[in-house]
Amino acid sequence: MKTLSKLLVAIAASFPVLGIAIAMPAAVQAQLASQTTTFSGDVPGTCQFDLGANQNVSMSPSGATLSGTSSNIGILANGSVNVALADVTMTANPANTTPAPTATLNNVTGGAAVLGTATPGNNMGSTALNNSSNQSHNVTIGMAVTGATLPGTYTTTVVLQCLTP
Amino acid sequence: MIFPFLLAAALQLDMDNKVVKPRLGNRIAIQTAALLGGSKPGAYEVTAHLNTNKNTPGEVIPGLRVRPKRIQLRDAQARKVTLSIDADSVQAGVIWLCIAEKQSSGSLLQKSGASLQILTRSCYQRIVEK
Repeated sequence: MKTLSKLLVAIAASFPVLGIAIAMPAAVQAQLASQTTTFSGDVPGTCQFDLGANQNVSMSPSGATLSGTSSNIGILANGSVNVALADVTMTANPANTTPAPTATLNNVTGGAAVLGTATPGNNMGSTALNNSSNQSHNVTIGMAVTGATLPGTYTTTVVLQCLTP
Repeated sequence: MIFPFLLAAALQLDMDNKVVKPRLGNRIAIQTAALLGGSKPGAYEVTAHLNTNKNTPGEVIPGLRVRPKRIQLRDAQARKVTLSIDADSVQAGVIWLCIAEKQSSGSLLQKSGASLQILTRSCYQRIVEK
C-alpha cells in the first residue's frame, strides 16, 4: 500500500501540467469543451442533357414535306425543371423555296404526349417536364418542314432549353 | 437524314439564393462554375438573358460581360465563371443564366441533304432586385 502511494506521488510529480489543468476556472473549461466544427455546403440545382453523342435520324420526304424525329434525348436534373424549344431557323434551303419548319417536343418518359411546338419567330412557352429528381427523363424532337418543293439541301436548327426555375 | 450532334453542360448555382443585386458600382456580379454532365468535352459559353412573356430566356442582356468568354470543358473539374451585368440594362424581375455549346463555323454537321441541328441550352432563373 505504501509503495502504491509513492507511485501515485511520482506520477503526479511527472505531470505538472495536469495540476495546472485542474486549477483552470470552470468557465474556461466549459468553453473548451463546447468547441464544435460546422461543415456546411449548398447543393446547386443542375440540369444536364444525358444523351448519346451522335444520332442518325432519317427524315422522310412526303410530297413537299420533310419530316423526322430525333432519338431519345435524356434530361437529367436534381429538381423539377421546365423545358422549351426556341430559335427554330432554316439555315439552308434551295433558292426559290420558302420552307416552313415546325419543331415539336415530345414527352417519352411517363407517357407519350406533345409538350409544345415552336416555329420561326414563335418560341414554345416554358412547360413543366414533370421529371423525377436525379432520373433521366426522355424526350424527342420532331421536325416537319413544309414547302420543300425543290431538290437540294435543307438545314434546320432548333434549341432545346432546360429551364431551372 | 437528320444528324444532330448534342453537347451539354451545367452551371452550379445556389438555388436557395436566387436574388441578385447591384453591388460594386452599378453592376451586378454573379459568380458560378461550369461543368460537364457526362457529355462530350468541348467549348461552351455562358450568357445572361432577359425574360420573355413566355417565361423563357429572350435576348442576351446588353452590355453583358462574361469571364472567361470561352470555356473549354474536358473533365469533371468545374471552371469558374463570372458574369457582370449593367444594372441599367435590366429591370427588377427574372433573368436567365444559360450555358450552351459554343457555335463554331466548322460544324460537324452533314452539309448535303436534309438535316436538323439540335442545340441544347441549360438555363437557370435569377431574380434581379434593385
